[in-house]
Amino acid sequence: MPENNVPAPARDYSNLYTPMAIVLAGVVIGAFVMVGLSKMGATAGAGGGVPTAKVDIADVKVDGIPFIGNADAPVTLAYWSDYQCPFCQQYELDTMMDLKTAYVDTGKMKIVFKDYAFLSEDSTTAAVWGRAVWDLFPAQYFAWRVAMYEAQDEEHGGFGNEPTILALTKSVAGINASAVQARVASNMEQYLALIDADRQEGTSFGVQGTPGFITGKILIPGSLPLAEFKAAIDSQL
Amino acid sequence: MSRNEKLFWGTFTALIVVGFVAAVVYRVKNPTVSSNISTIGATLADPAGLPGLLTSNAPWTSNSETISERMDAISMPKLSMEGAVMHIHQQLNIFVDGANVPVPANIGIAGFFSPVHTHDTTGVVHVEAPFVAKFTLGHFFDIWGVRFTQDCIGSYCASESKPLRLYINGTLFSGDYRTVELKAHDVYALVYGTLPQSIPSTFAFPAGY
Repeated sequence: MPENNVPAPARDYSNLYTPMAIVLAGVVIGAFVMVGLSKMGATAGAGGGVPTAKVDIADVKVDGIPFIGNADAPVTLAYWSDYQCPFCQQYELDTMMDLKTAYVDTGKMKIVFKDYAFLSEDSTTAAVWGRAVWDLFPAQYFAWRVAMYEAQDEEHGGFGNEPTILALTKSVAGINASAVQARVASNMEQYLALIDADRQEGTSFGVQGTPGFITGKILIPGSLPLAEFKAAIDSQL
Repeated sequence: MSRNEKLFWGTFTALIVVGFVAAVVYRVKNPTVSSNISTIGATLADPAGLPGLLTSNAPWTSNSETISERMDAISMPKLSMEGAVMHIHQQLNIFVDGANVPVPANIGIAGFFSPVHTHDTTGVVHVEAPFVAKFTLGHFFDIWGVRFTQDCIGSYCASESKPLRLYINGTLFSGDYRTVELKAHDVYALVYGTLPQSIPSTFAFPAGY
């Protein structure tokens, strides 16, 4: 039929360009605004106050990670640390002991110990040993950890390499140091991967050094005063 | 160009501009680990007037009694953490008339940490900050509280017979001493007067540094 030989006229979409571009612009601008708002307040200060951070303890991996306290405690404090870090020592031997008495021993909170080993080779050595102690002697883990921080000296000050950690481990009651040493040797690669994963996870939440904490929906950057921790914890109870 | 084409390209260009502006606003309001440039103070041209500034003969203490005031004066944050975003080390040697002057431990540590500090007497300078910034040799000496200018270190000021020289990794440096940026594994030798037997150009930094 003759009409079949007549090519159909090309459709003109040019009148759609403007509305399409406006819609696209709206989507792009909206995305910036949404992402921007979601990130507001997520940047930690340089250890000078508790920021209102867009983090959530529910997003922190806690399974298989060393902890103290009631596993079903209503509050969780995730704590990233380096065994060579002086502020971690200060926190562990001072503030944390007060928090333990007030919240951990009363079943209100558990403290989850995450690695953030970055200061030196000794940092990683200690973190690896910590993993092995937790795997083999979880009931003695906290005592071992406290002993490690009590023994902390200056970076490369003598304590912190494997022979000194072995000697310290032998001094902690209830731990078979030789078994821990063997565990370290056999699981080294696995432990290193876990330690690295802890640090990467912390970094992804905005932890920018040690110590760093997340509890509830608050990121606490640094060894802040006890009152700052209590306020963050009490708000969840 | 048809009217529709003009409208399309005009809107497209506006979209790019709006997107760029939005991106800039977002980045400024939401600095990330990789782009977070701190607002530390610029290196002072002259440290004269800094609280507790030592202009005495060597050796010098860590001078921590007045560090808090100096940190405020140079807009340096007082940290309650060991920052991991910037984590580099250098080594500093000071010589006065050929004799080594010790760099004390705990410079920049007094209940808080300066992002630039020392832990021991090896001369290793630690830069550990939860942000990225340009830290300089001038910053280090201002935190320490020892007078350091193009011509003077402590009480020792350059003369024709006793110049003050700075070597970086063994090479004589001819620029502005105070604004030298602290870079990973750089070795500095600040030499007043008679040259030492050798100028340090390398240092065996511990593993992980």
